[in-house]
Amino acid sequence: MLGRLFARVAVLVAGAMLMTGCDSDEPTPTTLMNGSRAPELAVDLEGIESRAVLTVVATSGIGEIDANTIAATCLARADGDRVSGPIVVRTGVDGESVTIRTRSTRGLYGCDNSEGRREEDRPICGVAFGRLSGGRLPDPRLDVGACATKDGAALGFAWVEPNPRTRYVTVERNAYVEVYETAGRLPVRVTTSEVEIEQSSATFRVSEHTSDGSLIRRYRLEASVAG
Amino acid sequence: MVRTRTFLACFVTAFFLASAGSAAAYHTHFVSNNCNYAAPTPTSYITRDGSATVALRARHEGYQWAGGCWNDNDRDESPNDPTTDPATGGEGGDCSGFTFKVWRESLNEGDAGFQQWGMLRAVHGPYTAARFKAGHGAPNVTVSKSALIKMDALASDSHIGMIYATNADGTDQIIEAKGEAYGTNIWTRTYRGDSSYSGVRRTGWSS
Repeated sequence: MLGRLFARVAVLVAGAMLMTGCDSDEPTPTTLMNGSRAPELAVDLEGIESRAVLTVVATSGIGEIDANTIAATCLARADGDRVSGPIVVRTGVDGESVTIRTRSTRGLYGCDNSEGRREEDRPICGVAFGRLSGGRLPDPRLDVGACATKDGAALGFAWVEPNPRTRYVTVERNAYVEVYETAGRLPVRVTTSEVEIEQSSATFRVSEHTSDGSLIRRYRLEASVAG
Repeated sequence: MVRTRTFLACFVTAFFLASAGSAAAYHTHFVSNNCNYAAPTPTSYITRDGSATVALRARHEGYQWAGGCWNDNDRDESPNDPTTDPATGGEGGDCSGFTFKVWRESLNEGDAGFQQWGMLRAVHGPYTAARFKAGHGAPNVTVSKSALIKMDALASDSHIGMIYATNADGTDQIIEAKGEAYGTNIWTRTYRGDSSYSGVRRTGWSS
């Protein structure tokens, strides 16, 4: 009973700390997983303030992919299923991802990568496939288990379907907030470190903003590995 | 007037009964009422026939998106759950959760050892069908479809089923958690001839 009470209080305190943005003395990262400098965010995102780290998004056509890249690896995996452009590659602080739509537009291929140790010599740590229903994903297609930070902390990846007015999607990452620009009219593959391996689930604390930074909505995406 | 009142009374009663039935189907509480989170038991001697027996216990026990908990009374105790909602807490596994448990895998993907999970242990495991298809996880490898034998699996990006037996005509009897409308059972399938499916094997069997 006391344990449960303590857990609830701890969750409330942690939540309050995160809301106020004073949860950690850790500096906000300035570089991304590939060593490049995180770009400057052109607008202030309502409620995010100085903790924002803008990720990089690159959009290319099928014929524009360089060999030996995560995009090429992902495209090869989708071989046999005809895919259509654009291919969206995202690079964040400790994760990167690829999203490709099938030509039938009824499916999405995803590939995930991270800095952590990986099985054998695999070029990526995770894959995902989502079947669209009525143009929407009924499930965010969580990928957990093999992707991790260089310190070994588990990472989870999932797709967020942004509101039509959304220009920026953000995800709370403890000491900072990772910011993703929408691209290619595709769901946005985002990363979290709030992973429960025992439950094969993860939590994404998401907010969506317009191009001028105004908050559209804020929500918790609770995702489970499935299907 | 009396007829109108009777009609209204019947309508209201039927409406509430229908609503109650629907709510009950959406929240059967099977997991919260029956399942546990006990630690698995590591085990070293595991046969393909033994795993087939484990799989057969789940037969007729239903399907739950993101699920992995069932009993063995040949009845789906949470039929017609909304599909793709992991929060309904119904009975059964989904295709990848069922495979994970029958193959007795570990939550630690780097551990290729066997873990005995109780039927009523609520666990799905970290793999989706797409990740099984790609051979992710230390116990799992991709193999040629022509080399597949009993309790190997055929996986696509969105589904996985295990081979219970192979028919003379080259089709397979697949034991699989197929979907909410179908539950978990054995069906004759042509996955082996379907280019969207690949062969996957759990390694380390004793026999």
